[in-house]
Amino acid sequence: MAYTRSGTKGGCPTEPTTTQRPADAAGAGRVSPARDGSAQIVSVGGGKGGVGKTFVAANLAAALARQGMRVVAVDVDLEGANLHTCLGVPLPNKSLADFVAQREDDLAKLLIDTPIDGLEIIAATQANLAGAQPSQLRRVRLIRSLRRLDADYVIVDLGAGTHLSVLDYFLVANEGLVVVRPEPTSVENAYTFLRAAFYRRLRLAMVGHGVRQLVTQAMDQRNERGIRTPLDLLHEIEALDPVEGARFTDTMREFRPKIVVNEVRTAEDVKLGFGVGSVCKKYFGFEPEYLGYVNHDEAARRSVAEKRPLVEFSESADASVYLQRIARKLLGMRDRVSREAASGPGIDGG
Amino acid sequence: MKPVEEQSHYDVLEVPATARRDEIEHAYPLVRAAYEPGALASYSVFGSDEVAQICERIDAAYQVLTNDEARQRYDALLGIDNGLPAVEQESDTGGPSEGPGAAAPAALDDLDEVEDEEPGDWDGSKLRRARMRRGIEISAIAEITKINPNYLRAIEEGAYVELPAAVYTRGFVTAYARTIDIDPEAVVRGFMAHFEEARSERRRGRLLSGRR
Repeated sequence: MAYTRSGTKGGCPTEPTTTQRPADAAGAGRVSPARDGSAQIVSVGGGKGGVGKTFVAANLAAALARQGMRVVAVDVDLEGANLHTCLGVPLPNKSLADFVAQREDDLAKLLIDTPIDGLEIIAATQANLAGAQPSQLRRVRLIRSLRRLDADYVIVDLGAGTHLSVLDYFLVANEGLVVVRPEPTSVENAYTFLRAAFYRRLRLAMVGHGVRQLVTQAMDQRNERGIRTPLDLLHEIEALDPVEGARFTDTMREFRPKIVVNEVRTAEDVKLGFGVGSVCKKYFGFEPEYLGYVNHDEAARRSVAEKRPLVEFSESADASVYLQRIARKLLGMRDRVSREAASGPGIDGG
Repeated sequence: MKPVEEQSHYDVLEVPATARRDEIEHAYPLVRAAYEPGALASYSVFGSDEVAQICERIDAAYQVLTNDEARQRYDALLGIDNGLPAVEQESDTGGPSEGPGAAAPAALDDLDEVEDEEPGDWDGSKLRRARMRRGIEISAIAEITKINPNYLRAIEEGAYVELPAAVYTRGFVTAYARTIDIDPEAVVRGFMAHFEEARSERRRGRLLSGRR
């Protein structure tokens, strides 16, 4: 579960250090997730635009707040920001863009109330499209600040695509959710996203320069060495350095993205989550967890038109029931993780 | 982690070595469906040859693991001691297994089952959720019960005006619940209460508009 460097669980400090790491790409990925009382970060991504990431993020945030959690929803999709609209917040006068442009250093000052008790938002607005993506250093700082927010849950709504910043916000979360719609384009992009996130995670986990380079080469699917799958890569790495090979295997085991299938219409669609999980196991070697599905529901469209999260707009709507169920599962996971932490390491799996 | 061709039957079916027969029966169609030709989950990752090979492996695993003798021989060969002698497997041990080793499908079921068992208010949406979770399509229920699928959809959507007289609707709901293996009594009670309420509201509405 922990996205720390393999084999050094708990080795990374969660407190900010005064010495800033060099702007190495690894910086963001090495920030370890919270294991103490700090906020639980849940990132919602999926690669493709229009699959319902923002809808799912807004509703999970609202559902968790309605369960009595203190929640902050954060929109890091600087180029397609509309999480605030889904939560019924009018165009905000402060946003993440202020943090990115270094007009504001304290993330907590960008919090805005929402109409829902216990739920605040850090919105993103397209204030400055030219400099929309934060620098690497700024990203690391943002990730650290997210963790220090005074909340039980921080729900991060990711943008589309596989930009490094998107991957890092995904990897740094305690739970990374991948939203998929039962259609070819969405499933293809979900695999692209999972593959990119997994290779980035691997690259960050590997220590040796040679091995890291090997991972970088493998990220290009038409690499000259003929490394096609992570399993091919594992063989190459094991041959090169057995210790790194073991680290690789650990990374595979710890990488547990959560699948959410959105807009299911048939029982066949429900099974897609299992299918994607199975293909990841058999092809990539890591095991996603099927967190749940949300059915296609006209009430969802109406709630978006009303600029309200569905779980608020209609508690009993079909899709609303599914979303609340997923929120309850997230709560259950947090409890499971803290139970495991309390009883010591090494009991995971079986 | 090994490539598919080197994986054990358990890995191929994605069940723990301690899986009971019913868990294997549950896992097989789920895993198999992901590798049907053109399946949404696998077409963009595996070529048709690879998919055929995976299906072969899945079928072989299923054959062995659902045959007690073959499974025992296989376990012995692999040195697996799963504490499941054939005798114990045949006895009915009741509910789903617990513990971290349980198969993936069981994980999704955990919370959903709570929902099903909630007392009282069954309506069309809840019935649909129960059906979806069990992986059963409307067309399959229509085929088994010989009920017009439009009526089944009307039940799920709570489109009471589209349903026939109470006595027929009651029969449809009973058959639907039975087909997806839910006790029809509670379902019928909940659903018919909604049905009657909607009908009486409609009658009231008609009376009111008639006076005008």
